Amino acid sequence: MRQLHRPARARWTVLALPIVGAVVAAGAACYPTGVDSITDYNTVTTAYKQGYDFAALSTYSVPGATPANPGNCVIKDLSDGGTVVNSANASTICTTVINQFNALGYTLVADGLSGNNVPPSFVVTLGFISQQYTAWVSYPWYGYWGGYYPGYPWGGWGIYYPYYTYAYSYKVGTILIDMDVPDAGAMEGEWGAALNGLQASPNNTPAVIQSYIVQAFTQSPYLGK
Amino acid sequence: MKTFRLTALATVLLASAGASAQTYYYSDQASSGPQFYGAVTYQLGIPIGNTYNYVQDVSWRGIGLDLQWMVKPTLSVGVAFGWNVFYENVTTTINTVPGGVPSGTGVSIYGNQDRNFNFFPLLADVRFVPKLKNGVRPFLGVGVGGYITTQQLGIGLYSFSQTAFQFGLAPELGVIIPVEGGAGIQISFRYNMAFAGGGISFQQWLGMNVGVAWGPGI
Repeated sequence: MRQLHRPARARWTVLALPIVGAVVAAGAACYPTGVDSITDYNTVTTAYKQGYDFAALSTYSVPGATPANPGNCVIKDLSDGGTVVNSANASTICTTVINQFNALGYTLVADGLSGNNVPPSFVVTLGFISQQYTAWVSYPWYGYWGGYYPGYPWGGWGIYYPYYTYAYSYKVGTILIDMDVPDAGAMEGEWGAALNGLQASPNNTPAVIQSYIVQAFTQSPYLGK
Repeated sequence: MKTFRLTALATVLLASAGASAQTYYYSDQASSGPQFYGAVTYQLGIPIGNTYNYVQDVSWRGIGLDLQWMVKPTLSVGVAFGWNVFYENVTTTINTVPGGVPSGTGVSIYGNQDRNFNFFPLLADVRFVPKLKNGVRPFLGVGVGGYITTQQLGIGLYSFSQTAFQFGLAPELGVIIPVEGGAGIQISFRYNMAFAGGGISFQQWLGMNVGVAWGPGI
């Protein structure tokens, strides 16, 4: 009897194994990655109100900035309640954003704080958020050759798999640009951009920051007069 | 261009089978029961349609297992399993957000993206598989069943993925060339179609499969 049953069992085993394998593999699917630099983690996200007539807008103001001194705008640190960001890159952020809006045909005017009594068509506010993340990664399989011990206790060939655990932390920074049209006392966002990435070199250099601000406007062709 | 390629491939296969078909079909199948044959194949995938729109690169990562039993001298039935990975890394702007955005809001995201498809075909297969006088077995088959599909998008620091079961259909044209001792080489072209389901759109690709076949059925 066992002779008769063996082929049947073997056949079902052959059938079942690939199915189980496929289901297991689906849970651990293969995700190759092409990320090979810090800047590959950067994103520029823009959102806007569809159907809005951006060409109807003409003047704008940025808190703290004046036509004579556009690099003096206020950037709020939103992660600590709103203190003013005072970094070497603040001026780069201000002038780049203002240059982009000017290039679209809008005119920068001084804000109310600077003595201007004519309300602008829209207001641009700038913010920054910094968030700290901590992660732990275990590598039970790490060092598959590096951990090889020729003289393993029982003398034979053996592979030692050391168990490493790493803790690492990283900071994620986000620059926020908001374009708001004052409407009956309320501020309603019409367009916004979020530049997101790791706070590490070369992301904290003026050239990189500038290029991603320009990208935010490049991918928003509906802006402008 | 794609249509031309597909037509050319099919023509070459059919022509080779047709030339040999000047001989007659026969089978030396034993009468003791369905004879088994199987194949393990390396599978290359050319993305088409929606699959191409998401990942344009040819898939170099694919493996398959075919298990077949001869139920008639020129007819076999069985199953086909596989794992096909499509991958592309691009830096571009997408105008969508996984999960959607509020109505009336337009969104664009620019960044470096890892785009992946993992397909796990689970097909029931039937093949017309005549045996020519020289032992070569051209075959025409069709697989019916489903695909477990995982679509993944990695952009910036974020990753989104969804997995769904999609009903599938896969016509196949190929040939088994016996080499020696019950072993041979299987070459085939399988057109994989995974119909829209579970939030994943209709996917399709042409698989070019090459592998080792074995068993008394070949």
